[in-house]
Amino acid sequence: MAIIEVERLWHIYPGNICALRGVDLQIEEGSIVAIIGQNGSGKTTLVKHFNGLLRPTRGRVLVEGEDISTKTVSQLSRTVGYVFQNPRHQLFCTSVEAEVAFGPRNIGLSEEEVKDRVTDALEFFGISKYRNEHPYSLSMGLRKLVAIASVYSMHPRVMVLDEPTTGLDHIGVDRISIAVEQMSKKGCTIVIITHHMPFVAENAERVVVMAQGEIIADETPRKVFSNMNDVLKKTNLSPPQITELACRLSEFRFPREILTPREMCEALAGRLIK
Amino acid sequence: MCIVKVEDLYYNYPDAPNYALEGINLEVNEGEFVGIIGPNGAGKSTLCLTLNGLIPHSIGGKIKGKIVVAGMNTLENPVSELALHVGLVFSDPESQLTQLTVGEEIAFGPSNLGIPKDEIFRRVKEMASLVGLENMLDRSPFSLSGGEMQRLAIASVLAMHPQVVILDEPTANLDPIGAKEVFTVVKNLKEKSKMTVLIVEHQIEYLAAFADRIVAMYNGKIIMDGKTKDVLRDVDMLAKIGVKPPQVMEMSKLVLSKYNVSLNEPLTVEEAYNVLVKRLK
Amino acid sequence: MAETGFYRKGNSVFHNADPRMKIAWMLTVSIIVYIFFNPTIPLILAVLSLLMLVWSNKKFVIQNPVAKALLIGCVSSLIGHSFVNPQGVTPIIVFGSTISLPFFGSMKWEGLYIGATWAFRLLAIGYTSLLLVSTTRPRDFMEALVKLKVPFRFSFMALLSLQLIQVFDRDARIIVDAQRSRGLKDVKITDKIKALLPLFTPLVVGSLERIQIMSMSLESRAFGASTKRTELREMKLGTKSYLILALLIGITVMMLGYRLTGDLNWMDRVRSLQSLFIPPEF
Repeated sequence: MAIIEVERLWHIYPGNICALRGVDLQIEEGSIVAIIGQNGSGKTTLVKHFNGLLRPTRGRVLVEGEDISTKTVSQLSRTVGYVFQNPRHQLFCTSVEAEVAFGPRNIGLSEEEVKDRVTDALEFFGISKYRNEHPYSLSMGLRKLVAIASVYSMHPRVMVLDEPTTGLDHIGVDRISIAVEQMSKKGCTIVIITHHMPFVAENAERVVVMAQGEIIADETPRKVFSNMNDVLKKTNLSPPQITELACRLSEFRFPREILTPREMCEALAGRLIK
Repeated sequence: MCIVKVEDLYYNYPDAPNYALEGINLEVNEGEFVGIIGPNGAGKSTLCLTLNGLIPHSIGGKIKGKIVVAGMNTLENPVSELALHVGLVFSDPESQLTQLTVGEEIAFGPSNLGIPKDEIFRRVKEMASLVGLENMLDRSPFSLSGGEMQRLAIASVLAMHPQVVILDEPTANLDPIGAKEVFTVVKNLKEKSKMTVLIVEHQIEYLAAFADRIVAMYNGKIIMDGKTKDVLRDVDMLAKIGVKPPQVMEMSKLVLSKYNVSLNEPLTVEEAYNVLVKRLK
Repeated sequence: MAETGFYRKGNSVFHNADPRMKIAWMLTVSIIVYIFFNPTIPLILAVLSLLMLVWSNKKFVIQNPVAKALLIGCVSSLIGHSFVNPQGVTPIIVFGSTISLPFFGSMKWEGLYIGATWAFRLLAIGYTSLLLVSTTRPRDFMEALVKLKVPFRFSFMALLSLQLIQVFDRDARIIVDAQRSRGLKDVKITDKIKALLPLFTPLVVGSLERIQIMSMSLESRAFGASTKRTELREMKLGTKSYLILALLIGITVMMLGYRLTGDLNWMDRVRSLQSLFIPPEF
């Protein structure tokens, strides 16, 4: 069942800037989709239609099978959660607890329920011990987790993560990967906008590539990254380093669809001259 | 010639009980390109701020030890004097830009020092070319892309003609194209000038390709300090401090441990390719 | 960025004039309108300034919200004082009857006189200020201030505030979107009040972070190092400018001198629209 559907979607910004040119997309419930492309490719514009932050110039957006043109952003926030790139645009409370309680309170849950949601969300992301800390006293990685938790506590069916890994070190990125995995296990649909190719390689099931307002590829990470010459060249993006190496070795009938160093190592088995 | 010398540096932020920098010893020679790596909170930015005097003069805190940059003791000289010798570029491009045009932004630093107008105009042209913004001198900084803004920030720092340039996570807030632009500028700096460059980065694959030397920090201390290859080959130590080596290096380590074949610890795709071409049946 | 503040591009004589001249004109007008108490002199100066504004940028006066606000202020003053000012004694009679409002009483000549004086003073000063800011690029304005010995730091701060307005505007939009995405409602007034904290806190914190980096970046480039900053632009006043300045000063002094003989106030003799602007003895 497609939980989000976009039909012939056009979006033209004031000043005649065409950001989306008749985009069609279906996102299956429970999937993890990465949307990649250069700035200006339309990926952020597309994703902002999912929760009503932007409205179509032409075309339709359907969430849970219903056209959302009559619903407000705050109504849609129950179904589609959107975590902004910079936590400082969302975090404003003096404690992590209050921050995570904000969303559930807004959708009108009882105080009892809100308390439960907060405790659950904090445990879920492994940040219970920071419950009473001020969000700004935490490292960037933890702050990002708090931001994600504060949206997840509304239990939306879809979570949109806008550049969840910028500014994070390796440990921080790992934490986000774990969070994505956890949420997906619970049946949440996850849409990630990112530039971090290794992160996409490790977490996404499906990669949608955009350029100049159109979807130019929609495949598994393996297929997208091993197609270095076509798709990625058009977008000026680079695949993970190891995939690039595998592709260059394809003249030796070496498999191109390698995503991690470990896979590369396996692929070299038996082929190396000692 | 030693251009940066840090001896037994200990530093606490104001009202902070723990050391932000603990027992730092570092020597950098003129012309070196040093990459600084480590997890968030390791003290990398703090170290950068001590090298141009912002710590302790502007930020305060408790500092012990000796820091000499380009022959000047940072504890005894004001930031404005040190600015002639050390330039610092921050990770948020927009916050560094305050003037109304690209040209004026580059001219800002030298103007503050009362450098003659003709000299300033010359420097503006020179630096704008260096970073590829020579056709945008009249544009407003806010109309630029992220990569362009950061290049402008770099140009405005270079206009002071420092001998050392420090870049603190310059590409953290940029998209891949912007990051590439900045890396190209920094690469040109290294290849075409005698400038000493210190760059804090998480993009290990870039550092692997260009840095002469890597300094790894963790918990306020320098854990590793050596030639790029020597540091990046120690994947176990890197894992302990939460840093990932380049994927090709990781792969070569796996191959070594599993099949006992050495791939010469490649740092880049090019190196790995060359080695594998010879090794593949 | 070109639209930050009030500046509108153009090539009129006012756009190209040295900002110091425009500042001088604004000061002259501001002083002269206060020397005498009558609506005529301010009206003349207001009309003159309006003509200058239209000459420099035809659509500005119609489009700019401040220009419109000035007109609203002008009309409010006229009407307000006419009805309520206690110095008003003589009722205005039109077609045989007074103009009156329940509770406010009737319009009086003296009140109208006072109202008109203040209204046109407002317009005159307002329009000259608008002329100054709409025809002067912020950086030229800054350089003029520096030449007038205003410390660089102050003009720098003024300029920065202008830029930060744009930044805040952009950030505020993102924050509103971000919080709405967390279910924040902002339909009813009570909602809007509750929304203040989640909307303002991120804005303020973001600004603080930004300011911290900005100040470090500025210091690292020797901001404030010496008072002898290099001036990058030539701004010399020619002979013509000095003559005009001398003329302005001369007129102002003359007016001040004339004030000693009387304040040109004919409020007590106003009995008609004509006598509002031209004293009866003419």
